[in-house]
Amino acid sequence: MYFDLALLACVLSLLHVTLFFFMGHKRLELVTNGFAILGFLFTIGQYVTLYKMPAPPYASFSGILLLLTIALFMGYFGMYFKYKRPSIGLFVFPLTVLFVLISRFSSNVEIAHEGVVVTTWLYIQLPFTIMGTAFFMLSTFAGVMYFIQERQLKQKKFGIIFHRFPPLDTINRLVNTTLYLGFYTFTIGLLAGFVWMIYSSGTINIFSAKLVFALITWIIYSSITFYKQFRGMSPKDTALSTIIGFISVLITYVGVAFFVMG
Amino acid sequence: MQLAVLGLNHNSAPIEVREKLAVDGEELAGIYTEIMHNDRIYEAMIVSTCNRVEYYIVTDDFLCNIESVLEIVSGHCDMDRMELRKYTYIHCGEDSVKHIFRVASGLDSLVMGEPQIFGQIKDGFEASREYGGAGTFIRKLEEHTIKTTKKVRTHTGIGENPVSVSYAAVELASKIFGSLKKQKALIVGAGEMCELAAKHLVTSDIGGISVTNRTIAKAESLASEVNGDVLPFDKYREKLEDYDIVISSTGATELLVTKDDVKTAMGGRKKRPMFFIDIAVPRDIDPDINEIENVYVYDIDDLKAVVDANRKQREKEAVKAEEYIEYGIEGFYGWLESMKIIPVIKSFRQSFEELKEVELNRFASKNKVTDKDELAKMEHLLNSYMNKVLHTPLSNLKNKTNSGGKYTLDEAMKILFELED
Repeated sequence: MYFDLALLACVLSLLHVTLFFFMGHKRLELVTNGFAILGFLFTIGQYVTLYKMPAPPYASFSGILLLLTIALFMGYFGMYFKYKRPSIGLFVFPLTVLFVLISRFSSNVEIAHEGVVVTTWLYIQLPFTIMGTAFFMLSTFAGVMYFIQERQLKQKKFGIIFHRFPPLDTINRLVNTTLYLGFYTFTIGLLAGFVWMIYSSGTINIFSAKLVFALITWIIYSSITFYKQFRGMSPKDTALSTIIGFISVLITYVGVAFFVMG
Repeated sequence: MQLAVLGLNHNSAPIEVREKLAVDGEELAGIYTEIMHNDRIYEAMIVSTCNRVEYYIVTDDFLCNIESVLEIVSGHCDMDRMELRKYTYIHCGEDSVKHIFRVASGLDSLVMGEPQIFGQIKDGFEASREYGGAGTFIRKLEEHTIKTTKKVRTHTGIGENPVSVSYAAVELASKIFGSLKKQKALIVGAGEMCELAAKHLVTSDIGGISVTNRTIAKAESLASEVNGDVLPFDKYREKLEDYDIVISSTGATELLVTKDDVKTAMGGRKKRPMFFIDIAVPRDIDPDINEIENVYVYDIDDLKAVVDANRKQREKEAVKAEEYIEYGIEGFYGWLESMKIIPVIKSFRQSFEELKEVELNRFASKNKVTDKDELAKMEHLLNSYMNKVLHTPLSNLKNKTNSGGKYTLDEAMKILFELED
């Protein structure tokens, strides 16, 4: 039941954020956030019920997607309360709909969990890595928003998007905040993963698909973060690097899934 | 009773006439006294702003009484009545209610959607209460005007999108920097356009303003007006990197800010954006500067295009606003209709009260009841019974008066007392 309720709330929050975008009524913004809160709570509810299934949530594809949805909602709420702009929901809510939907129909797909050693480190590694991924996604969305808004200002063409999107500086801060938060949380998740792997198998298997994927993601984002921190990057370059970073991660993921996992 | 308005505004009268008719505090009291002296004018309200002067009256013979208002006004402004009549407009009944709703919403303003008029209308209502012009009608009109205007401003974009060049420039700056509290602006020139833009920046809480001009005295004068500082004209190029927003409007025939100047300035700004607004003709700022990353240049034509687009947007929103005004009129006339039934309700209740008194006295004398407590208890019982009996028909009478249906007597009884078939 939670699945259906979460899906309904996600669809309704997407519908209302779209209506808000075109109509601009403040009340629609409130309704959007109301449905987003419901979607968030129902997704948590569904995640908790997964503990009753044969495969625990951390070992099921469905559970991972639900956790990512929860992380996306948390990221959206955090960004909304800081900048009071719901427009990033236009990017976030379609993903939440998609993730809950896939999760709904893949609830029986298990990731091998036989022999998985459950320690505190696993409970640190999983949410932090997923939260980090969600923040990287948010920074990519904000990067796209930056490009659209910057282009409109340069070309002096002002449509509805120009009026609804936040000021350029706010989008830039959104990109920076999500990028740094993503990097820090992902790093914690990765380190916890190393420790968990040692507990689990006594060694670090460098050729594990998950580890290769996580390491590549971390290398891409650490390069962006370090370059930005120590060499300086213009807001436009930062926005561009978050988009390129995320595309590289996606391509690498496909590559890793294809070659390493066979 | 109906509402009528006699007025003139920026469309109907030149400023010389509007100036003559404008009324302030002391004069206002006198005019209210004169208007209210007319027995056939029950209530009145005056609105006086730089763009309009309007006299609203509540009367049952608007033609006759509006002429008496015209007489009073012509006496006050020392203008011939017939001459004054040429500049004025008159609305009555529903049109006058619509007129005040439109005025308060900014739909009848010189700059469509401007918000100040709402405050001025509220001041008018307040003065009407203060000088004894307001009664039930005007108070209810005030309530409905406020309600309708708030709806228009909340649910339409009539007040959004600036329609003046200088304000549009500041709004664009906000679209780049967000809050302007930490930004610094440089004003190049000290003319009227610069002054307007600088004042808008101050109202937007700009972090700091510097003014530079060939004539230092003019720069100092503008700087003191906007609480800014003066930058010597020969120094503005080397100090360019310190400013986030540059607004220029001078009479110079050559470019004052070149692409090279900005490239050098950007070198020291750690990639923070810069916004240039060029309101001068011929232009002061090289338009090619817009090609530099994180630098945005807008000239007067760009800003005019923004203003035109915003104006069109407001016109579209005005159509929506008219719909809210129609709802507002409906609501107000609903109340007015329900007022007609009030005397009927009063006399109906009065007849019951009298009946109660008669019956109570008869019972007391027949049964020789003299104990006051006993009589009070009986009266309480009768009151309670009477209120319960009257509640349903009176509520229905009040609420269903405007439903517009025509009923036979038996149907009316069924509706009033909620009787089943």
